[in-house]
Amino acid sequence: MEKCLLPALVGLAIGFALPTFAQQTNTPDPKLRDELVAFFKAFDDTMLNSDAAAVAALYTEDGCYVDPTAGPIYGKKAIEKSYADMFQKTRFTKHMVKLEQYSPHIIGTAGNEAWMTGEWSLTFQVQNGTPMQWQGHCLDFCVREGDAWKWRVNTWNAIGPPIPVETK
Amino acid sequence: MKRCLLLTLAGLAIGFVLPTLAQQTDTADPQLREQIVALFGKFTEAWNNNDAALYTKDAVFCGGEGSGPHYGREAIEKWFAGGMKQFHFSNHVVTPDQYSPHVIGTAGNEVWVLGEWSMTMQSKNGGSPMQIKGNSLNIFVRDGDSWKARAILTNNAAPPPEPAKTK
Repeated sequence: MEKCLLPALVGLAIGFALPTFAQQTNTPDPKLRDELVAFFKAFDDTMLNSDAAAVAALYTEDGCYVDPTAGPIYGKKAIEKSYADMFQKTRFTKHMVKLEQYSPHIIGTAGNEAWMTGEWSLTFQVQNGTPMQWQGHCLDFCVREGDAWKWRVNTWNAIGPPIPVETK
Repeated sequence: MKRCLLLTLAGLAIGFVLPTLAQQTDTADPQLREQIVALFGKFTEAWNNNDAALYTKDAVFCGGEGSGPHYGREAIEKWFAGGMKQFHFSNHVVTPDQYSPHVIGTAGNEVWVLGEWSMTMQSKNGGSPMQIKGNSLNIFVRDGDSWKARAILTNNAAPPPEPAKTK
């Protein structure tokens, strides 16, 4: 009886596990992942330094940033202006984008285009206002330009509105 | 003198126009755009029917309220079903932005598309209908003669929704 039960349980376990694997089987290339982790770290740094030109430099010439409220902003110059306007009023004291576990996903065979999802979290302060924290998800499509990855398009959403940072 | 002025003006005009063209030169293929417009129409039907068949099996979806990532059709359907239990949705419309779709790579089997969406939602526990809208970034892959969603992230435009006008 025990002999019959064991294979049945193994069968059941495989039966439950296989559909999950079928849904998400992408194992990202570690080197590629490292490159894109570095890309997002560079972005975090530009945000902490309030450096609009450095943010824009992370985009392709025809790159597009989709702001949830303003909509698509096309081109490096317009993206730089959008960030410069924001940095005049807003200062970031924490900014972190973390790639989700299955990203990046390579598109095509050349290995020069990839999309990725991630989680972001940040703390910001508008002028002398209360420090606020906020988090959400992002979807990005990047292309390789020489040795560097650049954004062709990116957007994000938020989990609810920003909330005040808890202070002791 | 006039010739100099004309040339200067022409130079200035080119100077102003060229950077704009450099920023956005992607003209969407009309036939491909029609396919994507039709696909968005199907997404509206699918939304109303809580059907994730338009997603690839390994699709990823991040919802406008910040939920997700939802991996795979089953999880996506579950997320939609949860929303349907709480809210009644109507007037769901998605349109591709003027430059979309953008072909990825050379094979033409993958595209990215920016969409603008809007809809009316009303809590099933009562309350006024709310108009909500936002943007979406969509990565579609060709599936035979049609397209399927590989990844979608939607966001909600601030400020918070206003009550819909009722007669």
